[in-house]
Amino acid sequence: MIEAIAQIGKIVLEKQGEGSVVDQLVENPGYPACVLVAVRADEEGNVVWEGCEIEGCGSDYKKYLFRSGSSRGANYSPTAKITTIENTYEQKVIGWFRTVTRKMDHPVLRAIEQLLVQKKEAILQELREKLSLSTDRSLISLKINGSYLYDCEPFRDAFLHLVHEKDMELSARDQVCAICGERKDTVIGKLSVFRFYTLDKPGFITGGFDEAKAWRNYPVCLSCKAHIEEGRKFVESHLHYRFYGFSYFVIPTLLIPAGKDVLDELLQYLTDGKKDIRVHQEQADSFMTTEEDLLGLMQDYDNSLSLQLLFLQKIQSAERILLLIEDVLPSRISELFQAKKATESLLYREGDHPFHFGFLRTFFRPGVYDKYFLQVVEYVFQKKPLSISFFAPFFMEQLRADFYDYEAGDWSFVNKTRQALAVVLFLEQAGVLVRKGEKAVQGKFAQLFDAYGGQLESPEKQAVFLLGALTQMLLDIQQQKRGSKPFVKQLMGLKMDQKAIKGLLPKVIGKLEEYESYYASHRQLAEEISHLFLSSSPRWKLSVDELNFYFACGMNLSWKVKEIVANKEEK
Amino acid sequence: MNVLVFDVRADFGHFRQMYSTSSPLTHSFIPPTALFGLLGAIVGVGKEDNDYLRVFNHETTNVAVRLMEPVRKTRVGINYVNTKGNIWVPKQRREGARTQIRVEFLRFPRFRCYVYMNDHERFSQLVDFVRQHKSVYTPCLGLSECLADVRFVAVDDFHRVEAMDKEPVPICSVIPGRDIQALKVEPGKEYRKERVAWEMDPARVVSRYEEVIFEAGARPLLASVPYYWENAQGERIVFFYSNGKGE
Repeated sequence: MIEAIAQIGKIVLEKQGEGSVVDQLVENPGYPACVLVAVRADEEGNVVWEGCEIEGCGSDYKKYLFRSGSSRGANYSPTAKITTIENTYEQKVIGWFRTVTRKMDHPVLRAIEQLLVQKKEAILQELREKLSLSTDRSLISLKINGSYLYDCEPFRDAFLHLVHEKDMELSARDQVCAICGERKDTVIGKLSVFRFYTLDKPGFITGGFDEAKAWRNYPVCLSCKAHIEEGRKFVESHLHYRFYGFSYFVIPTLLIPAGKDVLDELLQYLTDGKKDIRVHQEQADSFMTTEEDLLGLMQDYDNSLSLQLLFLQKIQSAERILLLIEDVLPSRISELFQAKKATESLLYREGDHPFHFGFLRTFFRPGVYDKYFLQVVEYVFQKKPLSISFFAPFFMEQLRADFYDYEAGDWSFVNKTRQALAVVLFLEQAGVLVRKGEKAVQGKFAQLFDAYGGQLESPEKQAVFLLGALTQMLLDIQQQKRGSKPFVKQLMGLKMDQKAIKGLLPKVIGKLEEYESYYASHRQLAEEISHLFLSSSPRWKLSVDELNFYFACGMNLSWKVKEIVANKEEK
Repeated sequence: MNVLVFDVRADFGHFRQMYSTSSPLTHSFIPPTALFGLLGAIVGVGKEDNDYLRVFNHETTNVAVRLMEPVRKTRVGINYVNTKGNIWVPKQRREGARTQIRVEFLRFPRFRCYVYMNDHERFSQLVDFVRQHKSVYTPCLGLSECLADVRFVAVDDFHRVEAMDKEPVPICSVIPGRDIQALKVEPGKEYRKERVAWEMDPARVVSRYEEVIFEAGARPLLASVPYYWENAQGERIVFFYSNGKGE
């Protein structure tokens, strides 16, 4: 994964015309103006303050040598964004010189520091005047003998020294870099670009727990470090998405070197055309988030690229990897989009209720079942098998919670059952839930079971499903005739076992007769259910959750069952 | 050449990816340096001063690895003892005495290992130990918690085949990336690439890293390589160190 990020960084830097190491480290402050304290200095250490000037910052931001440091300390150069001029001058400008002269003995820098301290009031006065003329957000920087900091060697050296200082604490000379595989003058042992690599516990250091030798675990050369940093920047700004309470990065990686052009093209597209995705791509074309994402785009690529999905959790300054889904091929993504379309066409009107992973998230409560949710996401991308018995308890927990309000006319039970059904159908189409009902089902409902009943392979499951549909028909009649559904109480809060289910059929028939609504279609359905009960095995190998889930599905799809029965009647 | 073939399997395995420490991720197969450690454990060359790396290394031992089960990974929260400052100081830290680290493990890993050694005496000792299902130290897959079972399969004759044309052939073992001249991507297969430490000296300084390509479903890869090794049953593998050893 890190190699993939380094590769992205390398491509990005190559495109920018890589430049020197300093170029890679300078940040774009993105401020429109800059006030400069002009100083004239000679090699003997004589320095004079020449005044202050203000100028607009163009696209050539590198000349200011800006790179932000800690919020309380100095930056990596005496260039800083102005908050209040007094504080910034004291903390970021003089503070920088203080830091540097403590670490490096450079007469010119020392002399400039003394000058800036001596002339502090006068300089601040002039800076205030200059800043009062402009309402723009401004930087503060220095100009030495008419040159910007980028062109002054002592400042460049100090800049590099400060940036690499922490990394160089643990380094080795003439060793092989773990990223590029080449032997380099200096390799660092404490790469801090991603905070899931830390050496703060001895147990993290293999081969003796000796921190001084920890560079052996993961030696990285300085140019690879720059590539990884640039790669991370790119990934964070172009490939970072939110996903139902999680944050994830999509990292495209080359499976075979021949795909380099494709990766180039993709990165170019992300840099230039990212905003267009929002316009051209409909929301419905995404299933990872409700906003647009890269996956919709990736399904059209060939398999020379693969994707890594990195779910990262930030806890203060630490970063934890929650999940890394490796090597998802565009062909797999394409399969998932097809599965999504197939699910929608079966359950919803065209363009209505586009399926997305939010359906799944409904049943895996945030903060409680995060682990299981991520596991399912992983299995979906990797096409690994899961069984319905894994899902049934999660589905039923939510459905039961809403079932109590169903009698009062609340629709969330119906909607959630539909969502659960959509999840099952999607997972079947995606090859995650093994479709058991492949063998041809005989009888009136063959077509229905073929379309919806991938899991309804046994007579008992089919019977429970149809009984759910018949019960729903009764509830509809009750609702119509008396404005409520008292029969809901007979369903035991959807915690029925085999015995209760079998006992429910005569109750439903009895109630239909009481309402004088036991029509031929109901009779046919009841006959079919009885037939299936009789042909089922005496001991059903079904958990209560599974059993009630099929029952709820039957309730939800009763309109489909009704259609079939009505057609038969017409014929 | 005579090659010792044995299977190593476990319920869990963990071979830490070098770029992760506080969220350890695992490699999908046993890297060669870990395999050397396993061989050391079997014949009883200890880890003290990395002795095992003096006996088993890229110069003395040639190895190949084949995945026998599809790669399955799972994440388990492991409670680490908080030892910051090198001692256990539960009260001094806000986080308490333990930190939970989410560790990625291989689930039910099973690898077929092919080993050839120049040192015939050591090799026959290794064959004897594996054949008798014996080991001096307890074998494990990566971590001491991941106890492993080593099962003898065969001592088989593999001969080296120079690939004259560039036609891809099915290769069962994982393949070092540098050896692959062409790879035929077949639908339905999961191709993965991982970078592992390849050559390590007894001071644990790695002098070479290598990318390795394999199929995560434990199916053979259709690849064109300059040479491979084949046994009488037509099983084709690629040894990791192709410096002519065993010829």
